[in-house]
Amino acid sequence: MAQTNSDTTLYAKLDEFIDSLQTKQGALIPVLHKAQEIFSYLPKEVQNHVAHKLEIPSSKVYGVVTFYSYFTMTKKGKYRVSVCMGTPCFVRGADKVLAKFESELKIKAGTTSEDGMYSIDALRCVGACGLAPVVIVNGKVYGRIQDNDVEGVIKDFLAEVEA
Amino acid sequence: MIKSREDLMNLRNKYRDDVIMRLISYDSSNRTEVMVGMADCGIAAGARDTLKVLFDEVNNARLEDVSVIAVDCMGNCDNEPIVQISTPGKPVIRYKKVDTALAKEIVAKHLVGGSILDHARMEV
Amino acid sequence: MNPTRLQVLICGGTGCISSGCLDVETAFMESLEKHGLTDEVFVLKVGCLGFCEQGPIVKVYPDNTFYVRVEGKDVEEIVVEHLLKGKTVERLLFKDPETGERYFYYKDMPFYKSQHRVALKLCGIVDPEQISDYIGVDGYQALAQSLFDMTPKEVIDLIKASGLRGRGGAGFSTGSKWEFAYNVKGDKKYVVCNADEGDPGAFMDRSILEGDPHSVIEAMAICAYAIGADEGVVYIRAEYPLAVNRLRVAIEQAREYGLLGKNIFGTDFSFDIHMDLGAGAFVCGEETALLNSVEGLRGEPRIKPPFPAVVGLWQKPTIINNVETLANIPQILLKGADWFQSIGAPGNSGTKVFALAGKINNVGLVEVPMGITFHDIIYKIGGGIRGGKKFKAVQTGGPSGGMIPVKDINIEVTFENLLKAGSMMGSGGMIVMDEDDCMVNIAKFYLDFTVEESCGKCTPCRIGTTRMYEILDRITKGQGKEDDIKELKSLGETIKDTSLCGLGKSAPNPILSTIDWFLDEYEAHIKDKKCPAGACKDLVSYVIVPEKCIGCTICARVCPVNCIHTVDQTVGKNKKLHVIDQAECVKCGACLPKCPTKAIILE
Repeated sequence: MAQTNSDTTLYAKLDEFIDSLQTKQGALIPVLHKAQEIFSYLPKEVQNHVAHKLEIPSSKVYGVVTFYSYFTMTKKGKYRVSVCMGTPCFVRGADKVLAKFESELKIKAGTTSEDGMYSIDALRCVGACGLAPVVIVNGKVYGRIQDNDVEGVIKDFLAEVEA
Repeated sequence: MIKSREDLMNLRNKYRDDVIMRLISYDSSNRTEVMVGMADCGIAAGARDTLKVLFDEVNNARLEDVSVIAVDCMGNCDNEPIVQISTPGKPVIRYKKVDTALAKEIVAKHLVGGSILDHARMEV
Repeated sequence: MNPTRLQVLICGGTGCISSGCLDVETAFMESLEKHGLTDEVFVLKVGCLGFCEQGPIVKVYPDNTFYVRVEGKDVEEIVVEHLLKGKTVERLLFKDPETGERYFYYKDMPFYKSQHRVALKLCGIVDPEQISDYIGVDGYQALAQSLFDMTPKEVIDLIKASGLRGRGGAGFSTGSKWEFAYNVKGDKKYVVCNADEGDPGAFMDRSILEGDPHSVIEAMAICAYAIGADEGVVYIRAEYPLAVNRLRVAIEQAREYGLLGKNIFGTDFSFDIHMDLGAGAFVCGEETALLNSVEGLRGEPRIKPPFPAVVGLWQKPTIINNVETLANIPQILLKGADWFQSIGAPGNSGTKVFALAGKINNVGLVEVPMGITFHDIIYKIGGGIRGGKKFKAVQTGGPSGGMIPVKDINIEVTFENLLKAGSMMGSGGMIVMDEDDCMVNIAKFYLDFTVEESCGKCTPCRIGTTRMYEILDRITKGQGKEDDIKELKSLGETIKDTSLCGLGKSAPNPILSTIDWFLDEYEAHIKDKKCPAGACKDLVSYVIVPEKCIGCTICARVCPVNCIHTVDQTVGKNKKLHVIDQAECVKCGACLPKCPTKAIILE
C-alpha cells in the first residue's frame, strides 16, 4: 500500500516517539499503544514499521498485537458502540442490550459496518457498576440501559454529532 | 523541594489547614459545633459577617476540634444574629445579637478560655 | 490558599463522572460566582466516595451533609439554601428505599455504618491531584519514619507482625514476601504494583488510584527501602484512563517535591517509579504473566519456582503487590502492627474492599473488617435485594471464584472460609444474584470469559475450558445429556490439577461450585429441558393466558416478527383472543412488559 502524505506525517509522529525512548528494551507495548493512538488501529504495515524500528521480528510484534485485546487490527467505525460485559452489567441484562445493538446496526460485536459508520464492541468491565448496564458511544456514557432503550441511544448519538 | 524530615513537617503544618475540616468531620465525634442562624432574618441582621469572623478567629486560634456551621432559622428573630455552641457533654449555650466584636469575644473567652459570656447569653 | 468557611466535595470517581458530576462542578462554579461566595466556599473533586448507585454525590463540610444524585439543575438550590442560608436541601438527601427515612449525615447511613475504612480512608478526603492535601494529612510521614527510625529489617518485621496478607487474591503474607526479596543478595531489585484489575465487576484498585494515588506511591517507596530496590513499576490497565492520569500527576508531583528520585529526604535512599500500561489481557493479573508483559512480551505465565521475589523482572528479585495491599502499608507504619491486628478476624487482620454489584439496592465500593458475614454486607450495607426479589447466591472471586449459596450467607468472610465454601477472596468483586439469574447461564458466562482470556500456553486450560464451554452451551440450549454433569466435574478437576497458572487452576471454580450448590438447576435443564429462572432463551416460551387476554392488540403491535395472531375466540369487550406462534417467536420479550393485564407469561 502506497503511503499518502497524511500517512507520512503519522509515521513521522510515531518515529519521533520511538526515537525519544531511552531504551528499546521492553518498549514494544508502549510503542504499540502510541501507534494505535496515532493510527487508531494497527494494520500490518504499521506492525512491520514498528518491528523494523525496534529491530525485532514482525512475527513477535504480530504475536503481541493479537495477544492483547486492547490492540485492534480492524479500523473502528465513526460511531464506536461499546457495551460493557462485566458481570454486574451481564446480570442486569447487558447481553440483551448487545444483541439489540447487533440487530439494529446489522453488524456483529467486534466488527465494523461496511460503510465505516458503526462498530460494536463487547467491552470488559469499565467499573461503572452503579449504572449497569453501561453503554459507551464515542466516550459518552449511557447508564441503566435496557434493550428497549437501544433505539433511543442510537437516535441520541446520531443527533449529538449532527448538532 | 523536600530535603529533610523537617521540610516535610513544615509543609505538613502549612497544608493542614486546607484539609483539616474534612478530616475532623471524618473521624471525630467530640467536636464542638458553633452554629450561626443564617435564615433571611439572620442575614438581614448581619449574620454573614458574624459567621465570617467566627470562622477566621477559630482558624487563627487553631482550634482543630471546632466547626463553624451555618444553620437555618433558630426562631426568636428579634435577637439575630444568634450563635449556638454545642460541645458534647456540656449544656448548649446560645448567644444573642452577636456582632463581629462579640464574635471575637466568644472565640477568645468561650471557645479558647472556656468561660461563658453571661452578658450575651439567652435562653435556649 | 486561605481556609474557607465551607468546602464542597464532589465525587470524581469514574462512576460519578459517568453519571454527570462534571456538570455539577461547573454549575457550582457559576452559582458561587453569581452569589459572591467564591471566597467563602471551596469546591474540589475527590476520589470515589463508594456509593456509586447514588451518584453524583456531593458532600458539604464542615456540617458533613451528604447529597445524592445531584444534577446541574439542583446546584443553585444547594448554593442559595444551604451554603448561603444553612438550610439543608432535604429532597437531595439519601432516602432509604425500604423505610423512606432520609439521612443527613453519611455516618448514619446504613451503607456506611458497618464499614471501616483503612485502605480507602483518604479516598474522598484528599484532592488526588494535589500532593499538598496528602502531605497535610500526614502523607509521606510513614516513609520518613522508615528511613530515619527503622532498619529495612524492622520495616519487614512490622509488616509481618501486622498480619497483612495480599489483597489480590491468594492472601499470602506481605511481610514474608518482602523478606524473601530482602534475603536475596543483588545490586538491582524492583517493586511492582499490580494495578491490572481484570475481574469483571471489581473496581477497588481503580478507585484507590483515582482517589488516593499517593498512598500507593508512598507504600512502594517503603517497600523499596525494605527490600533494597531503587526502581518501581506500576502496571495499570489502559482501560482506566482516569486512574492512569491521576497516577501520572501524582508521580510527577512526588518527583517535584523530591519524594521520588535521588537522595530522598537527603538520605542515600533513591527510588523512582514509572508506569506501564496493560493492554487488556486478564491473565496479566497473574504476577509472572505481568512481568512478561512489562518486558514487552506476550503475557504468558512463567513456571514457579523460582518465585518473582527471587527471579523476577529482567531476572532480578521483584516484589509484586496489589494496589489495595499497598494502600494499607503507610497506615500500618504510622499506627502500628497491633492497631492493624485489632481490626478484622484472627489470621485475617485488617479490612477488605469489595465492589458490591448485581441485584442489590446499594451498588458501590465498601470496605469492611475481615470476618464480617455476607448477610451483613448484603442486607445491612447493601440494603437488600433489588425490587424485593429473592436472594439466590453471591459470587466472589470473579471468574476464579464461586457461588456462596443462601445456606452459607452467615459465614464470616475470611480467606480460609471462602476457600472452604468453594469460592475464593479474589480481588474483591461481590456480585449478588437473585431468583431471576440462572446458575447454569452464569457459569457459562464466566467460562466464556475464561475461554477468551486463556493465554493458550498450556493445553488443559486452552482446550479444556473450551470443551467445558461447549457442554454448558449445549445444556443451556436444551441439548444436555445425562452424563454431562459427570463430564464437567471430571474435566474441571483435571484442569485444576494440571494447569500452570492461577487462571487455569481456578477457571473451573464457577462451574464446580454451581454444580455443588445448584445441581437441581442443571438437572432441570438437562432432564426436563427447562430453565427454572427463565433466563435461558432456548428453554423458555412466551405464552398468553387466555383468561387474562382482553384482545387489546398491543402485544401484536410491538412484536418485531409479527408472530402474535388472533384466533376465533371472543375475549373482553367483543375482541379476539391473541396467541403467540411458538414456531416463529424469537423470544425477544418485547411483548411481555407491554401487556396491560399481565396476560403474557414465561413458561
